[in-house]
Order: sequence, then C-alpha cells, then structure tokens
Amino acid sequence: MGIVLFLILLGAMVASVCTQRPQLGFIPISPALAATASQGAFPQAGVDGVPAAVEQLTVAFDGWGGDVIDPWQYIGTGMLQSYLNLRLLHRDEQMQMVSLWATAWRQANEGIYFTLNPKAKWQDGTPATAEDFKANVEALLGKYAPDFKGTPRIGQFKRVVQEVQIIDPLHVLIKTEMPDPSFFSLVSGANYHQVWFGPGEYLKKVGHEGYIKKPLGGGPYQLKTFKPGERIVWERWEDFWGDYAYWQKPQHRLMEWLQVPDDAARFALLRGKQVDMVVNIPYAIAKDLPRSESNKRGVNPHKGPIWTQTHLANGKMQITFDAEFIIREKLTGWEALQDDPTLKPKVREALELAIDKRAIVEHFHYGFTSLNQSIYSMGSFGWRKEQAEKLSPYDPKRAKVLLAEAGYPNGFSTTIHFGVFTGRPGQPEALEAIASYWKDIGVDLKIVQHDPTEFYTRLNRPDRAYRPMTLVTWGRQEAGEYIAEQAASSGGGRAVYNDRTNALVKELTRTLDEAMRLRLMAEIEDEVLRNYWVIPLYDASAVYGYADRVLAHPIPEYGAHFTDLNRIVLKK
Amino acid sequence: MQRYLAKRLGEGCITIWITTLVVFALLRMTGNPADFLAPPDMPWADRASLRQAYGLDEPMWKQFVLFHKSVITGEFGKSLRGTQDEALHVVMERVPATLQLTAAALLFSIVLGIPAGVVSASQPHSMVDRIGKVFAIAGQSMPVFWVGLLLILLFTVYLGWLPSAGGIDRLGWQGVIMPAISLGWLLSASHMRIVRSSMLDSLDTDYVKMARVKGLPQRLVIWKHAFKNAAIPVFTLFAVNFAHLISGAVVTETIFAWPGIGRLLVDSIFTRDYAVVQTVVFLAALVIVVVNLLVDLTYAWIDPRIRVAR
Amino acid sequence: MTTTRSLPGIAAAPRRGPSATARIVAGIHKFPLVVRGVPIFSLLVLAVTVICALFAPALAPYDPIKTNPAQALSAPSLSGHLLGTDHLGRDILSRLIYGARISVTVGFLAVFVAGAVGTAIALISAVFRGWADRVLMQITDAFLALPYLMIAVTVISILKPSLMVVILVIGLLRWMDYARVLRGEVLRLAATDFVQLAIVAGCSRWRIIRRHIFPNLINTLLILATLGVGSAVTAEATLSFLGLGIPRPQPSWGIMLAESQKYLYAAWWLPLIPGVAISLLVMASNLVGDWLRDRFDPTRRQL
Repeated sequence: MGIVLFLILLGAMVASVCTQRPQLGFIPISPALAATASQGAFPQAGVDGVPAAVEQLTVAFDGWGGDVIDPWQYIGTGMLQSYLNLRLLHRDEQMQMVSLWATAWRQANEGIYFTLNPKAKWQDGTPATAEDFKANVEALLGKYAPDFKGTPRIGQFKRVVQEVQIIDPLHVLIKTEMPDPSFFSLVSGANYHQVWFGPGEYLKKVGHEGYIKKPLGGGPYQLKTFKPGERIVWERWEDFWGDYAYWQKPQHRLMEWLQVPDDAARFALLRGKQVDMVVNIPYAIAKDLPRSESNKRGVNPHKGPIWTQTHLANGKMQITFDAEFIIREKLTGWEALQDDPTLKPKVREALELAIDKRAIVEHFHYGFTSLNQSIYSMGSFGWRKEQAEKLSPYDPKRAKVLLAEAGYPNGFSTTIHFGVFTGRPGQPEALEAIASYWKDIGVDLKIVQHDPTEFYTRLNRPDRAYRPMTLVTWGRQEAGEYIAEQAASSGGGRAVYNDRTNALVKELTRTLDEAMRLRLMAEIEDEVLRNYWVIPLYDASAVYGYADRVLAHPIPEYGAHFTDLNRIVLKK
Repeated sequence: MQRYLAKRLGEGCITIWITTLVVFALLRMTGNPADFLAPPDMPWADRASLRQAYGLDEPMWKQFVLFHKSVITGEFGKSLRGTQDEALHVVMERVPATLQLTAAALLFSIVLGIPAGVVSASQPHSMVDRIGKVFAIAGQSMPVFWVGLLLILLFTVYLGWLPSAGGIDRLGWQGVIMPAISLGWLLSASHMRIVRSSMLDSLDTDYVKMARVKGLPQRLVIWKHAFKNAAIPVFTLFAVNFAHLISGAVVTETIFAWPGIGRLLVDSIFTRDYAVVQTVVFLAALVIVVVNLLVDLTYAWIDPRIRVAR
Repeated sequence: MTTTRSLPGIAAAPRRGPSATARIVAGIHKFPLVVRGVPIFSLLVLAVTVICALFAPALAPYDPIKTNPAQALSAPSLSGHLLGTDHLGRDILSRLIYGARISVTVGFLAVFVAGAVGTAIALISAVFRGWADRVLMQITDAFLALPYLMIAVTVISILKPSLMVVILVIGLLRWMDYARVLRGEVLRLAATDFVQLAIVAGCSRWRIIRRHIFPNLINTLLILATLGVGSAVTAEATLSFLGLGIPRPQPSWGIMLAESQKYLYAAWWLPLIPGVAISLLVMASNLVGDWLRDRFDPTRRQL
C-alpha cells in the first residue's frame, strides 16, 4: 500500500540524514594561530589573523535560569546578571579568585576589606563608587524593599553581614558579625554566585519599575531586546571599562540568546548552522562529535564543522534518604514512615551496592559524567581525591544478603522523587538504570518526576514532601561547606544528621583556619558516608557545542554553569 | 439576521462563561492552590498572605464571584517571571505570534487541501488520487511534534534551506513555513478528504448530471457547481478545526521555539507561573469563541438558509 | 449543501449543521483496499496490536525494563535485537510489544470514557429534550471551543501524571463528538415507528432506551470509537512529548517517541520506530472506522 511505501521512504530519509557526516570546508586559520592554539595560550581577538571585532554571536540554551534584570530583585539562580551588572570577584580557568570590581580583598576579624577598581563605571558614564557598593549591600539586606526575597543563599548573606563602612571612595569594609569562611563563595562567581551589584543611585532613584523599563548596568553588555524565557539580544557597551583578559569588551558586537527547550530542535540549530553555540548537547549525540579536549580544551580542534567542550562536574547527583530526618524532626506524617525499610543502614548499604555506577557513567552517559564517591563536588574545596576514588563496589549478591539480614529477603517497594533541571542531562536515564538494578535485588522502585520549580518548592517544605528518597541535584558547590552544613539539624531542607555531625558543623562555621576546616569537612563526610545517609552517584557535566566559526571559549574545567560567553573568540 | 446575531452572541457569551468556570475549577482542583501561585522560594509563612491576597480562604462561591470580577477587569495577576508584568500583558504580547502561526497553518491547509481534494475528486481512483490519499492519511496519522521534527531534519539540517527557531520577528516570513506545515498538514489532509467526498457527492446529484447532459463543459461543471458546494463544509468545520489549531500550536511552538502563547503556556506551567497559565487558557478559549462567531456570522450572511434552519 | 436532505420526522435538526465527525463521516469514499472492500492491512495492524497487548509477556523476546549498559544504542540487526536497543540498552521490539499494552489501554479506556459520557449526554439530551437539551448542547458547544491540549496540559500538571489521570483527561475532553452525533442518532430513532409504537403502548422511557434505542446506537458508537482510538493514542504521545505522560519506567509508544527525539542524530531508529508504530495504529484505526461506517450503512450520508 501507498502508506507503507511512504513510511519506508520516510525511514530512509531519516536514516540517511542522521548517519551522514558531511565534510564541509573549514574556515582556515593562520599557521601562527594554529601553533599558538596547540601550545597553551588561547587565541586572542585581533592577533594572528583573528578579527578584532565581529558582528554577532548566537547561542541556543535549554534555559538560562532566572529572568529578572533588577539585581535588587534577583531570585533564583542564573547568569543574566553576570553580563549586565557587576560582581566583586571572578574565577579564572583554574577556578582561582581574581579581581573584577574589587581589585583587592582581605579578610580580617572585623570583616572583609575590599578595594574597588578606580576605572569602574556605569553605563551612563558615572563612576562606580563606594556609595554604590554600600547601597547595593543595603538593598540586598532588604533595606529598600523589605519583601525582597533574594537568591537562595541570601539568608547567609543577611546573617553574616552587619553593615558596610565606606573608608574612602575606593575602599570599603563589610562588617561581619563573625568571620565567615564561606563568604567569598557568595561574591566570587562560583557556587551559584549569589550577589550582583547594580548602579546604586540610579536604582534608588528609579526603583524597580523604572529599572525594568530602562536597565542600566556596569558590565560588558547592554540589553537590547528582552523577551523573558524566549530571546535576549545583548549589545556590546562600547565604553566598557574592564580590561582584564577574562573580562573586557567582547569581540562580538551583538550576542543573541535563544531558548529552545527541545533537545533535538536545539541541536538541529547547530547542525543547520543557525547558531554558533549550543548549551547542553545530549551525551549520546556528543559522543560522536570532535572534542576540544583532544587537543587543547576550549579551542577549536578543527576536526569537523562542529566541536564540543565539556564543562565537568557542574552538578552533583546523589540519593538522599529522608525518612530518618522526617522521623527525628517529627514532620507531618512521620508515623507512617516508622517501618520504612530505608531506616535500616544495612538496607541503605544494600541499595548502594546494587547500583553499578561505573556502567551508568560509561555506558549511559558515554563517559561524560564523572564517578565521585564524595559528597563534595569534584575539585571543590573539601573534596578529597582519595575519597572520591573509593568507589562503592557493584555487588548485587552481597546486597541481597544484606537485605535478607535486615529482614527483607523478598525485597520491598519504594519511591524516589526527582526534578529535571536545565543543563544537567542524564538524570532520567540514571534513574531508570537504578530501577532496573534494584529490581534485580527485589526492590521495586517507583520514579516520580517533578518539574524543577515545583521540585525546589516542595523539597524545602517544612513537611518534606518527598519520602523516603530523593535524587538531589546539587549545582556545583565550589566551597564544600555548604554541602557539609546539610549534615546538621539546622541545615534545613536536605539535612541528614546526628549529634556528631551537628557538633562538627557547628565547629566548621566558626573556624577560619583552612587546614582545620578541611579536616572537619572530611570528618563530616566520613560520618555521612559511614551511615549511608547519602549515596553519591556521579558528578554531572554539560556539553557545549560550537560551530566551526567559534575559535575558542575559555572556561574553567569545573565550575558552575555561568559560562564566560564574553570570552568567546570567533573566526569571522 | 439580527435575531441570529443576537442568538449567536448569547451563545458565545455562555460558552465563554463556561470556559471561565473550567479555568476557575482548574486551579482549585488541587488541595493547595497557594502552592501553585507562589513563587518557588517564597518562605513558607508567607503563603498565608498569598492565600489572603488571592482570596483562597473565602468560601467557594465568593471566590467564583471574585474571579468573575478579575476576568472582567482583566486583572489576572502578575507573572512571576522576567519583568513581572501583568499576566494579561505578558500573554497579549504573544497572542499575535500564535495568530500568525495559526493563520499561516490555516492558509496552508486550505491552499493545499482544497485543490488537492478537487483534483482528487475530478479524477477518482487515478494515480493522482492515490498519491493524494496517501498524503492525506499520512498527515492525519502522524503526531504533530513528529512531523515538526522531521521537517526540521529535512529542511534545516539536511537541505539547509530554512531556519527553524525564533518566530517571525527574528526570521521574517520564511520562519513560518515549517511550523505552518507541521501544524497545518493534519488539517489539510482533513480538508482534502472532505472536499473530495463532498465534491463526489455533488458530482453525483441530479443537478450536475443534468448540466452534463446539457453538454456544459466539464470544467465549468466542476468549478461552478460542485466546487462551491464542496468548499462549504470546510467552513462548517472551521469552528472545531480552529480549536484544534490553537491547541496544536502548543506543541509546534515548543519545537520551533515560536514566541507564542502555546509555548508561554508550557513554560509557565513548568515554572509554576500560574497566573499566566490561567490567562493563556482563558484567552485562547476567548479567541476561539470570537473567531467562531465571526465565521458563523459570515456564513449566515452568505447562506440565508442557515439562519432559518436552526 | 446536504442539510437539505433531511429525513422525515425529525423534530429538531442537529445543532449547528452537521457536526465535524458527521462531515468527515459523510460519504468518505472507499480508499483503495485490498480484498473486496475490506481493509485487510489495517485490520491486521489492529489485530497485531491487540495481540501484542494481550500476550506481551509471551511475545517479547527481552525484558522491556531491564537496562543493559553494554548494549546501549545498538542498531537493529538480524542477530540479537531485531529493532535495536534504546539509550539504556533495552530492546526496542520488546518495549514496542509491551508499549502496545499501554497504548491500547489508553486508547480503549479513553475512548470508553469519552463514549460513556457522550452517550449519557446524548441520551439525556435527546430523550428529555427541552431545557435539559439546550443546556447540555450549550455545554457541548462550550467544550468544543476549549483549546483541549492546553487544558489537558494544565490539568495534568496540577494533578500529577499517572495512567488514570492521562486516560481521564483525554477521555473527558473528547466526548463532545459522541454527544452530538449520538444525539442526532437518538432523535432519528425516536422518530421511527418502532419507538413511536412503544411510546403509544405505554412502555417506560428506560425500557425504550434499553431495548430499542441503545442497541441501535452501538454501531455508531463502534465507528466513533474506532476513529477515536487513533486520536487518543496521538494525544498520549503528545502529552508524553511535553513531559506529562505516563510515569517511567513503563514503556508506552508515546514515551518511546518522546524520549528518543534527542537521540535522533545518534540513533535514527529510536524515534523512527515508535513514530511509525503510532502512525500505523492511527491510520489503521481511521481506515477501519471508515470501513465500518461504510459497511454498516453505506447509504447513510449524514447523521
């Protein structure tokens, strides 16, 4: 019948499109540039034949986080503000703190001293001074808008910061109640950077409504077109004051952001040459694309019309057992959980032993994610390589034995909750694999998916809606303390704790001594893992795809997913 | 005519009112409407004030009355995202894009479907007819999102002819081609079948047979008599089809990153921007009712029998 | 315009001209079919699907849920996995067979729900007439004006996806066509001599409905149901695509198609096979529905 013929033709077309690897001509680069590129330096605009300025860069995202342009109303996590407004500090490719608005910083007992960059100014030409600094900190503390909710960790900011003292137009002191070791993670561009600074006087003058209509920043870009959730067009600020290698006037005049949630459609844009860069390519597709890591990470390896760079460990997946916490805190419905199998450590151990983490990473994620038997993000402060490598064995036989010992020779049924977040692919696959592994030992797993917004809301509810297990997705936490603090009863939403960890965390928040902090964090981790309260699964990563037109994109190997787009260097 | 107008208007109003009821019920269907209206990081204690603000503590009948008030004044609440505009404003900004898409899809379906149906009917069981039927069936069987993806595969990736994301603002009119095809193909298949069968019917009537016997040329017969009658069912079905189009836009807009209300709906649902969700559903239904009304009135104006035979 | 051809004795013509289904139904001519007017191929497709649904455990060569890391994304081959494996190493053929279960369940149950509601409304409307009729028809019109996918998406996201919710949502947004068409049918039947005599003889309404009207509706119901299965399956696929379908790890054709879109470039068979399966099922249901209609009463051009 005609239909069958039609469908066969269709199949043939699809198959041929998908299997072809078209070899199109590359845009040639000069030999000098090729030499530099492979030696270690990143190509620069205006050097060795690279144009000093190009017209437009187009990027397709699955999502870019919050859409709020007012830095004094910014909630959620995202990167929009990093291009419009200012941060105090930044991280270079080695994740070292480097200057941005603040050129020097010093932590003392009374607080933190910052020296501001004298060249800094706002997009209307007025200088960025200590007055602005003060206004911003006060706004973040809620002075101008009492119902300002702020970013997720603004609570910490508010707890720690007492007031701002202006020493002179370029020197300020943030007075803190006590020295807070993890303060810098709030202001230095990692760990879900929490705090952005806008033009203080302007914001005070025009207020939220005014700022939205006519936004003004101090960063490299101005907002040209803004359609929240759909499309943003940034325009280079020609008088941008920054002259750092990592933060200066971008090569491109216009930067267009498109939000295309559908993975296939998004990648089609790259393959169809509609965009220059795509954020988050599914691992199964990325595995067949040339990787920049084969030559120099972040630089076009010139092996095809598309190349990729992997942003490692920008997220952390772990299974957290919530039943014990719920019972201890006597949250709503705790009575029903008293017989829950996951309360027994042997059961939790069995569940971990039954998972073949290596297979998940190697076969379902094609090696793009990383094994990490630690509760801390890979490469972060507090992470220990020796611990990370102590991967739990894959031993389903022993798991069954343990289950029987714990009183469940025939297994049991249970539920896990999770939410899928942009930039962190691979979760549903991992969970389905886990469901299959657990089925082998008799545990019947029901997987409940939540959309990300709802997931967060209900995760932190006073009554902890998810029970008895959650697949918790951490964004990368550069300073491990934040994760360590979850091992305390005061840690809030995701706590797994006992008296010992409570005491350890208390000490941790008081110590400035780095060596001591590392030791405390190690002990906390040991206690958590010994009790099997958390099963670390893997560290997620995001693969970025670039068209051949993109020459380089220097980003840290590990880092939160704010992506230094201003540093992209294009060939033409 | 005026009586008919009044009647249809009345019915339209009732339809809109029922829609309001549905929209109202949607939110309150869950035990915790405050959960859906609150921004994600709202402290738990603040939800009480939210409940108050939205009147969720009031008895149900009172809530319903208040809801009507908000509908009439256009105050659907504020969007949680972006610039935190009024929900109505946010939605209205995107309605044109969806209308453009829907209109283009409709146009495509008419331009492809009706002539195809005519040609098919004039040469029944020929090769042309068969090919037409194959496409019609294929069109009606394939899910819209699949068609969309296949189109992208063919035209953007393989041939590189057409851009695939962003809407008319960004891409100009060529940007609407693929979305219109993916949305309109199903409809064109339906149109084709209707026109074909309708024409075959008309060609069978005594009236046409007489005309043939009288020796009028074939073309004249087809185009003047049969076609006119055959095209009418397309408009009869317009009501239902338009609703389907607006619905289908949800999927098409997601794939093609089209900045319309379908995509806004999906985004808002996943970010729990419920004020916008309510507004989108309500406005979509409103648009459908209004468009149907216009079509019906035009129809009645053209064909007086309709006004009477009710 | 075919409204001129009205059957004698009808007290009230259908509401706003022939309904959508009536239009499509009216006189679709037979498509090229295989044997003496019977759509063998389509019937075969339907039969195979139902058999797969019923006997899935016996037919499927592999476990549809068990993941198999070493064989993720392997292409179809004659030795081993006939239709290849998906991104988790699960056999596509087995998932297809088990998926038939869900698709068939969703399709049939959704149609059942829609049919039940539609029939009830049609009966009440046509039998009691007057005020009830007007109100119910008005409600029907209102529901027809609703953007059904938008409502479905909203409702499911509020109520949390599950098999039951998906079936109910699809069913409860599709009953309108049944209501309108069947109402016309009931009205027509009410005017027949049979029923008139029964009324005169003093039979109770309920008895009349049960013995005379309802059995004659079954044909039409069957036709509408067959046509409806296809659209229910498509609706399930679309909902899964938007992330609001049946929860994992159950395989359904909709989920298979939806979650495989992103592997399109790496594994072309992954989205193609469920897509073809869905298309074939929808096509088969449409063609069989058409055939049933023609068969049961080829002279009837309008309802």
